[in-house]
Amino acid sequence: MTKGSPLSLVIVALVALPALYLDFVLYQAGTGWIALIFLIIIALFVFVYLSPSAYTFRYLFPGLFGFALFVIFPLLYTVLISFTKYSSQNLLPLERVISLLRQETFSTGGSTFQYKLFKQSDTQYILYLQDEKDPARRFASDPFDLTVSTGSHAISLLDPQPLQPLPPGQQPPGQPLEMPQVTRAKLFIPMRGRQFVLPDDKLVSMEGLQKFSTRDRLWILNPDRTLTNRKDGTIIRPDFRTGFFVNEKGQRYGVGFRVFSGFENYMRIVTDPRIQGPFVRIFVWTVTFSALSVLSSFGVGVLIAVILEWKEVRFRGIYRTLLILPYAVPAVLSILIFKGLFNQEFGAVNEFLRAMFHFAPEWETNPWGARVMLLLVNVWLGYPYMMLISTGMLQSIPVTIYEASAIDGSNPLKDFYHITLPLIIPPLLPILISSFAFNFNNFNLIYLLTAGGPKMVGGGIAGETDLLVNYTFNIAFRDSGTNYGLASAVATLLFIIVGTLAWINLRMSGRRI
Amino acid sequence: MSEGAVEIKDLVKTYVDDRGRPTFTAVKNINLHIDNGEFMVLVGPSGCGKSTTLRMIAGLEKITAGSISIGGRVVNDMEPKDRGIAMVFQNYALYPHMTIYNNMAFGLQLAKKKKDFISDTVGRTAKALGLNQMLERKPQALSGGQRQRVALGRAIVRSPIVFLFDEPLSNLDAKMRVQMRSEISRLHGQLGSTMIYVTHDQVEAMTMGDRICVMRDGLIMQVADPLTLYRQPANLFVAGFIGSPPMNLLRGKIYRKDGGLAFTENSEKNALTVPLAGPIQDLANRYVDKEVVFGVRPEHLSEEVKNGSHVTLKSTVDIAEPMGSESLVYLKAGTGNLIARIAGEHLFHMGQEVAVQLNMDKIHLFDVETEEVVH
Amino acid sequence: MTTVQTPRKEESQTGTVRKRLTPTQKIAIRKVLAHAFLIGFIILVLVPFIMVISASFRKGNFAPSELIPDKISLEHWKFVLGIPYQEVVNPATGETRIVKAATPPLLWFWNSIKVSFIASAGIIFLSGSAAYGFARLYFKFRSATLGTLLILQMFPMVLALVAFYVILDFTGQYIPWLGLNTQPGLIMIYLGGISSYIWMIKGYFETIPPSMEESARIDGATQFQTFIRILLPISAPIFAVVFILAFIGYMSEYPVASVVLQSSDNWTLAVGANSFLYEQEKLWGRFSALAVLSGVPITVIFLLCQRFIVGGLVSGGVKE
Ligand SMILES: Nc1ncnc2c1ncn2[C@@H]1O[C@H](COP(=O)(O)OP(=O)(O)O)[C@@H](O)[C@H]1O
Ligand SMILES: [Mg+2]
Repeated sequence: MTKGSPLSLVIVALVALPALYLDFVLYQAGTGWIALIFLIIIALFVFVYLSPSAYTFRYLFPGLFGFALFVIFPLLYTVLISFTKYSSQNLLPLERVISLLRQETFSTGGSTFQYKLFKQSDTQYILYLQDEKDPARRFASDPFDLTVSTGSHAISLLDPQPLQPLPPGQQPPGQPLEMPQVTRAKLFIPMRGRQFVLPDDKLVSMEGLQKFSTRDRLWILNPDRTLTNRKDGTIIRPDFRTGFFVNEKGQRYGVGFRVFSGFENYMRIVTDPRIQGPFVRIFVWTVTFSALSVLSSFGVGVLIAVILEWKEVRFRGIYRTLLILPYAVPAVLSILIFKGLFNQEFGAVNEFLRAMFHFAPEWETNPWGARVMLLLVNVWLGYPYMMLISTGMLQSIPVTIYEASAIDGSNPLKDFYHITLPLIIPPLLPILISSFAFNFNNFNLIYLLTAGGPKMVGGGIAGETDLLVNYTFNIAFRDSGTNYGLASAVATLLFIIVGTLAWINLRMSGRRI
Repeated sequence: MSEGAVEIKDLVKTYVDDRGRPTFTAVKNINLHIDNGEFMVLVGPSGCGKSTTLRMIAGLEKITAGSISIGGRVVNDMEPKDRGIAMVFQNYALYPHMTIYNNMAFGLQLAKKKKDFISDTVGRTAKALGLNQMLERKPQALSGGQRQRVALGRAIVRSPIVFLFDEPLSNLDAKMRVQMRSEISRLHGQLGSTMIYVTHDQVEAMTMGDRICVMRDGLIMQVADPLTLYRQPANLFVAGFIGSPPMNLLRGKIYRKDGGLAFTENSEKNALTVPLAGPIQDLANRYVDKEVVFGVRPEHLSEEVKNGSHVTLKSTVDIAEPMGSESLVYLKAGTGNLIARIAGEHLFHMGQEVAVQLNMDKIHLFDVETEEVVH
Repeated sequence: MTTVQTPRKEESQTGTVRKRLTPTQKIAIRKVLAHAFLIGFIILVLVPFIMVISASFRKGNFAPSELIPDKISLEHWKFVLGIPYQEVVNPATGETRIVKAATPPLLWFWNSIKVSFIASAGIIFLSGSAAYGFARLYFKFRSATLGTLLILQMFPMVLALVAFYVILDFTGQYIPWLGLNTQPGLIMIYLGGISSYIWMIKGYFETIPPSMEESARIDGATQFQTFIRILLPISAPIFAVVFILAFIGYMSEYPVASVVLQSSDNWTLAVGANSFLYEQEKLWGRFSALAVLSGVPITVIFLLCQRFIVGGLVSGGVKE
């Protein structure tokens, strides 16, 4: 077929060469596996765009690559995490936990150092140390970043900075800072958290304002990956069931690490009453919410579409345009607007109801109030779409059918039930199902309107109006949750449910693929 | 000169699905030679593989087996544009977003021809087709017949050595169809190029083709000029397909009767019996007491005796369709149903008794097993 | 087409006891009912919008609840547009201060437009070319791939956030402008959601008879030329639809943007608008001004392209 023209060679080279360079950088940074996979992808790219035999895939490559990276990889990653213990307690990989433990030190009363900070740029500094007893022993670090980190424990996660001996007579580059500058909180706080390591593997860190002193590592790493305490000789080993280092008596040390946990997360969903209870209730609500949303939006949409198809009604164009509005306005804005309108005390809805009927539903604190509100808002958001697609369907029904039924003595209502609905529902079924699936995962609406509230009594982070996606999101990201493993297990189950639905839909719609 | 000759050898087309598994064999080993400058019509019921064959000649479908040569060169692996062909599609396949001018010029522009040359060629062709007033219009603004002319023009501009037509007239109304039919024929006369024309309409085939290739189920049933095809159908299929109304075909047996031979329709009682006379007896001799299909064209059932051997059949009129100068009369003779094309300005009534003369020189006998004509 | 209007025969003599109306009267009543229903519904649709407009001009930060503001003020509009204005801090002393948004909220709208525009353009490119492959080229496992695309896309983006975080954290280490808290990073993630669009465009391609492309092939066009010069121009309407749908979808996307974009000058409209509505202090006035300012252009564009979109929705049958 198409031969590689000079132009296509140039284009392929323009993409492939920077990518190869990047791959080299990745490799140098020690990410061997990722670099290898990336290299394979680059090779694939070059092959697809230069080999005539792979011609077809030239059209598919970009799309499928993006899909693989941003849909398939996250999915697999999530499934993988669902089989691990991975939460705020077991956050880091084992290696990082070991290196954190190895940063724990105890004072040995060794050497003390004078220090200076040499400013390199706005955030970069070099630390300079001079032994108080032996002024010829001088050390300097590479330039390193000193900024107040945003994360609370991020500082302790930094690896110790290596120090190199400084040859006699040489000074580090840059300007040394004056003492008042060094002791400003902006520098001092991050500085206090940093550790440095001497060439003989001794750690040094700040002691008081004026000095650095050597400290010894508390734990020795044994070849069998156990750690021995140098002060009291305790031996701790990683427990791969709990994801913590423990001593003989099972006492935990340090922070937890991620471990493979098999089906534990899934078992928790099924057996742990604190999770299973909310899970089942949320599942039921999710299904109810999706079904009711689809049915009522469809009902309203079809009704309006039918009326708008009646030629006797004037101004149909204006009506139609105004009725599409909810679909045209970005949904986030509409949802947030409704959040204001349904405000329990001051919102327009309750002010109106109070004035007219002396009645003010509790949209925010009563679970049923919140659910009704969600459904009302969702119908408001969803009916225009249903109206649009049913209009399309209605216009494909031949008028003669209605003329025939009129001769048979039908009336508009009978027409609607016996002719219109049976004719338009089957072709719309796939759309209704995908609309169901969409609402099944309608994260935005719940998150922005009720944030899942009101809280489920005894349900932990579960809210009465949470959908399964929102519940999963809470488990993973709400401060009190942060259990990625469990969240991923729920997400995987959720995906199985919705994926099956999509599969059935695909089968039913029988679209020629 | 044989530069426009097309040679099809052992051609097979099996469609495959995404995974390369065969799904359907649309063309099952056909051989066909088309002379330079010949107007060849491929005809057959829909789904018989005509388009598939044509599209393989065009290079739009991969060839499963066999070979196609154009002007002596095997074109199996050649791109369509290099084959020296042009094609006119049933739905015209005009580019809706381009003007008529650009539609016709597209191929030349892709071939990087000079601007002057392009405008000259397109202009001349458009003029010849009566399209020169609408070169700046888009296809939507044209009538069906005009669109078909643009499609023709687009093909002509390529100055191909072989024109390919895939049912080009079936989207037109009856009157337009007749007009375009003669225009294409005239075009063939003027250009003298080879033309391969696919249609399912046997009238089109008969009126336009130098030769006609009748296909069924991916096989060629007969290739011949229109008259031969009509007079000497090679098999039952061709006999039934060509001619309107079709040939009367009766299934029955040859018996010896009263010293002669007779054909008797298969029926419990009251079967139609035709005593055989003339040269047909020699052929029938081989089928005594065997089943055959007996065929006679409607115009060979007449009221008066012309020359040659005739047999008189007593029959009653079932339905009659007077057409003015002649009538199509549906007759019942015994259990047999026959259509007769009877000349003259008569009116026939239902139930009327007619004695028709069956021209025994125009009888065809077909073997039931092979469906071939009996020579 | 006319479920309601077809003139009906009067029922026979043996018929009803109901008061008999002539067909014309019946139709007149039905017409009045239809108009009443539609107007009622339109009021339900319009009132929220009117209230938001009113809230954006109302002094103080009140939840939208009035059709016409009692005290008109432009303070929220000024704030949203980044124009400084005076605010009375202490009514007793008459002390005032100058208020000016650190990040003009209008910037969020602009960010959203940028992100959504580039992401939608990318979507068009990716899904258009892939759809061509699926509709017109033949390769092994074509239909299986298509089905897989559709099913896998059911995995909600929200739940992939952990993985998105990991990816962007990683890319950011090597390509800083493509990491966390960058708009290109967000756009990159948005580009993954192509499969419903592939289906839509592919469906449209399949309604176009292949003979035009075949004709172009005979005319000497390469496959690529056929795609670019014949199929793409013919399919312009579906690309318009996909672009608009994708654009509106991204304008409304909240969860991914809120996790990826951390600093307020990077925020998109959705993140920024929600930031006005803290649990503790809900700044309804500012929110309303921002909502009006950014909602109106999008709505207008949508309504202008309405006919396109409706056609595309019906033929594509995919909701986003
Ligand atoms: N792409 C295809 N895949 C499978 N079968 C096909 C394909 N195209 C055509 N066919 C089948 O091949 C047969 C011949 O088709 P075609 O050549 O178009 O017939 P026609 O004689 O009416 O032009 C038909 O039965 C048709 O169903
Ligand atoms: Mg055909």
